[in-house]
Amino acid sequence: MSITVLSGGLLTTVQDFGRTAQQASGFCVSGVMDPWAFRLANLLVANDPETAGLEITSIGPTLQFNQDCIVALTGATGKASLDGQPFPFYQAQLVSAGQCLAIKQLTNGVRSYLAVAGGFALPEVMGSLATSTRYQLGGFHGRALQAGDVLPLRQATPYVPSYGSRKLPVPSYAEKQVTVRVTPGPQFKQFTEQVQQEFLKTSFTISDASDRMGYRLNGAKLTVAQTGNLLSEGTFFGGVQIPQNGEPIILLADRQTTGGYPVIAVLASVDLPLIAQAQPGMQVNFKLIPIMAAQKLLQERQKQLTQLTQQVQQPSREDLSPRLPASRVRRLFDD
Amino acid sequence: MLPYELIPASDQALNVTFPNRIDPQINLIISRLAAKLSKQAAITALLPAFRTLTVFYQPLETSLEQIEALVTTSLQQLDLHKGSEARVVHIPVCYTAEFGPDLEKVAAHAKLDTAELIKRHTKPNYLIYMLGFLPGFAYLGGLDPQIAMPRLTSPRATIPAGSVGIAGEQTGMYPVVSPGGWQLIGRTPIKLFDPQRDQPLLYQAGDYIHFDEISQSEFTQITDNSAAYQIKVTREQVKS
Repeated sequence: MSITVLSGGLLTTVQDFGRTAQQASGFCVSGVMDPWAFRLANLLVANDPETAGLEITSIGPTLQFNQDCIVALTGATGKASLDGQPFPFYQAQLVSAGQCLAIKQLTNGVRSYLAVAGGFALPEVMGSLATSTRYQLGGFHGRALQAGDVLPLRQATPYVPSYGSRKLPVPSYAEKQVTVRVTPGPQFKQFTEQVQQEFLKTSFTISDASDRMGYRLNGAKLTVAQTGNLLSEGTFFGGVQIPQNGEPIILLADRQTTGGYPVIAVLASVDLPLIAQAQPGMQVNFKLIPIMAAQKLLQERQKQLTQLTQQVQQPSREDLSPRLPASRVRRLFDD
Repeated sequence: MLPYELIPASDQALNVTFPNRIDPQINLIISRLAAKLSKQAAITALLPAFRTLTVFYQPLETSLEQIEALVTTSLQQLDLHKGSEARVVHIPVCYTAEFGPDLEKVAAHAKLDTAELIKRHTKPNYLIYMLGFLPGFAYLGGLDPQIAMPRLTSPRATIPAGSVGIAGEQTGMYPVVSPGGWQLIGRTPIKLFDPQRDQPLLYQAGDYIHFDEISQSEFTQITDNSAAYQIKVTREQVKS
């Protein structure tokens, strides 16, 4: 009951929703960068939403399955093959024991999620399977996957109802420019109106110094708010802080729990995936919306999830048709 | 009650914000408020800092107004007198040149001998204002100003876990290996942070830390039997 890693890819880690409850201990949350794509991967293989999966970055791993498994790939798409045959994204697929899944360069987006029905048999650390590479704990020995690793699975081929028809539409991620909605950050009012406007009018560029901890942006040097010496306070997933040099940093999954730089804005939760799938060199623009509007978007996203869940769980007519298997059986006798 | 502001901080968080200063009274209010709110199902996480308590909530299950009302009511009901005995966590520290490469230098800077420096460092109960920066890194208040000393001009690449140091008017412990610029004066043999323990940390914001001096042989003894070591915790009347 396992998967053998033949090559680890650029940065493949075991992730779930992270350690939100441990923030008061100064321990970073970690977890997936794109919670939406991760959720859909688990939906496709009928896992609980919290079941840990693999977060794959830019260049994927090659995995050999040592048992029959039902898996699904979501998030960024690109080239993937199963024993040399094209492997589809956003569909539950049966992978047979001995088969090899190779995920190559991701071209549409940056981060893919691989969910395996039943999940991994790995120990929880502080209530989560999320990998923290910085503190070398959680996930698989606290590090990214490497060739030779053997990932234990929790169950032998769990039952996934009508897996053959569990599929979802493939999204198109931005290639050059992305506009993300933000709500005013806790220090928004301490920036002058002129700086607020500059922040909202500038097309920033995601710099190469960007990772799971945060994305550094170039494009304008904003004048830091007159806060005196701001004492450190709690940080946010998607918080846009303005350090002394005036160049914004978007704090992401591996952020520190506390920080002392003023936070001008925080990404609307529904737009976190847009940033998680954006890569260095891309343009980012910010659009300010009220907090109530961001919460309404979250409710709409939740409705969308309910619809998609129904769609995935109800097998399509085609798959229910008894004629399809019957015609296959008939073909056996045709020759 | 001190003045405070409720600042919506994101679409899933509210900041309860007190005046921008390091103040034991603010710390007490934040600790008590966090304890009270931790029992609320609508709240997903709480993050206390020097002068803010960040309240995370699930907007699909509750609303900002409800959370604001909950915080306001809780603050009104807060009893800041009852049970003013604080939890004091005793951390054994070995103060030697081996574990504290800057010990002599800090003593010289304070114009004291090392024995007197150790005496002054082990005297106070240090209030934990907040945890942050590293897992379990405690921002402590209450250092004797005479033994304060600026941080190293060039930080060390690696500081061993358990190191105890001084930086400006702060003292602190490194729970995990980290680079850092603190003046190191000793080391504790106990694991300050252990993710495999039921309680990965031995203390939380609002508790006090007291450093107890131990000898080199006691250090070795504790290191060799770390599983058997029982951390000493006392309840004391601490003036704030």
